[in-house]
Amino acid sequence: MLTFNQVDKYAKHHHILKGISLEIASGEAIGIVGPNGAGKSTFLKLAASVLFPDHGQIHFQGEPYIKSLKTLRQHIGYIPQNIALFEELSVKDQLTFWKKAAKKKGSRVFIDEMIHVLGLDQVMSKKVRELSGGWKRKVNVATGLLHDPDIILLDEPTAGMDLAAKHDLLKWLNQLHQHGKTILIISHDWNVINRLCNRILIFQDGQLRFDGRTEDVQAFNSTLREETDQELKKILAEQNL
Amino acid sequence: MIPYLSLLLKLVFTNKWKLLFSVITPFIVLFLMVPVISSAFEKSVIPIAWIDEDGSDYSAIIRGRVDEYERLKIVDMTRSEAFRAIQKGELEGGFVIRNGFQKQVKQGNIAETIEWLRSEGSVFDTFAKENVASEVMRLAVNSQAANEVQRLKEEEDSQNWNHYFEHADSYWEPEPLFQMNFQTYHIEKSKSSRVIPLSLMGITSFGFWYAWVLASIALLPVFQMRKNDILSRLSIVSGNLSRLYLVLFLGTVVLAIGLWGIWLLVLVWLFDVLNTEFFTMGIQSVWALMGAILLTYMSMFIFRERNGYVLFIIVFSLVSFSVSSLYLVSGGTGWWYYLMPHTWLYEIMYR
Repeated sequence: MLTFNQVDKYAKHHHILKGISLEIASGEAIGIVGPNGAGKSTFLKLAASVLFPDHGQIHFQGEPYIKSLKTLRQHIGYIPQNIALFEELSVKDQLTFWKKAAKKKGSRVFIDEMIHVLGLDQVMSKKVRELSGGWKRKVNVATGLLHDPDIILLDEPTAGMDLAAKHDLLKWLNQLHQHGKTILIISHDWNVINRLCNRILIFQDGQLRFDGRTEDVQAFNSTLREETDQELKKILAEQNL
Repeated sequence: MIPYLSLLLKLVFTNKWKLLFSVITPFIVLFLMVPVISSAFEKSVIPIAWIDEDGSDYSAIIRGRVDEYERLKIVDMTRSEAFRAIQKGELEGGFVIRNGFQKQVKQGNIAETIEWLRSEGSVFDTFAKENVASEVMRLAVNSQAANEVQRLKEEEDSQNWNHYFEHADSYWEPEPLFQMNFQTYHIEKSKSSRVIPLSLMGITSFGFWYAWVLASIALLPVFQMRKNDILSRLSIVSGNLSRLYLVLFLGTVVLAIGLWGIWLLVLVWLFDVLNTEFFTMGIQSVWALMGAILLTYMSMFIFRERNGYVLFIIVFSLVSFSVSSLYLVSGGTGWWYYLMPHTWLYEIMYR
């Protein structure tokens, strides 16, 4: 579905991503982990077509994705790390705007179900700035998925969420995955990754250090050297906690 | 387009008080300043000292007639007071009606009847001098006519003399028989056909600045949208950002033109500057404003950070406001003046 072929990305003379090559198949749920500044968000932005590679190519359904940008974007749902919402608008106005702005329209059933599962009907009339961090995250996710995309890209969607809110969101994402949606999620929370993903990408210093199944992460961990990969080992050690 | 337009309106009206404050404040300031601006706007009044040493009917007649000229303000005082006031520059000049003035005029002799006081700094008192002179001349000519008639009739009756005098004077009404034709020296053709008087230009260009800056500030949410990835998301969801940018541009232009239009109408209402050319000027000046907005709009893409953009707008608009004033006053010809939107405005209004 999405293929990265020797992709490099620079920002202000920094080599953010170095020769990334991988393939993402339809229906996969992929967890992306790594230390801060490893290039995870940049990778997700490239997949979302928010950024474009400086070297290498990305293909969507066999075509260079620059050529099929319009089609690709209709299939993509991107939930950035920031709360990409208009703080002064109510949740209802927010959802109305994003629904109308979308080229591809999600069905009413899909939208109603998402609102119900995420519990957004409780806060419809409230302005976004009046909501807690957890609620904002939920609305942030909902507005990114209103057009019922096939590829869902989430950057730290559960940061700042309480357990109940996290549970609601994971429930909804699992439901989407079971309906064949492709999910790429960046998270520092192994609980989220373990519950949702069947494939893990581990980034460090702009390189893809690991690309494999969830259960193989610990085996990879044991290959890391204490002196050079201390930070990564620390992150991976939390997987089984 | 409609979702973006509706979003824009919702964002604009989110904080009604802030909006109301931003839009209304300059108008309130304008209304408060009306007396100050009006006095500057009204034709400048020339203050003149009047020293009546004769205290006669004729000196009173001349004083009364000269006082009818709107552009002259006659201040009665003594010779020494007048000297001081003219020295200090409080008065443009002064006229001393010497003792025996009426007697001399009745004889048709006007030489050395009036003293004209002025300093090196006096400029506009020549206007007063012409008026005083013409009134004295009128009395003298009438007197001369009455004297001549009495001489021919060999009469000495003062009642008849007055009758002849009034008869001669009647030829001055409704207009004097002989009028002094001043040759007007035109520096620039259009100076005489200004749509808005120069004295109002400051307040007019402030309105232009205000419409421009407020419309530029209306673009600030774009920086917030850029910062919190709303633009990234929107580019994915809607395919691209062209419709958002189009609506933003049109919205900004409409806001700026609306404010500018209201400002001009308020000026018309407050200062009675409406004339046939006003509407043409109003329509043409919109181009200057649209040019300013276009520059601002383009800078929104150049400056990635909000602070840089705000600094640019404030500095650029203030420089435009002040440098172009220099252009207006000095009639400068440097090409750099034409980088300033206020110069475009002045070109439309004054050239």
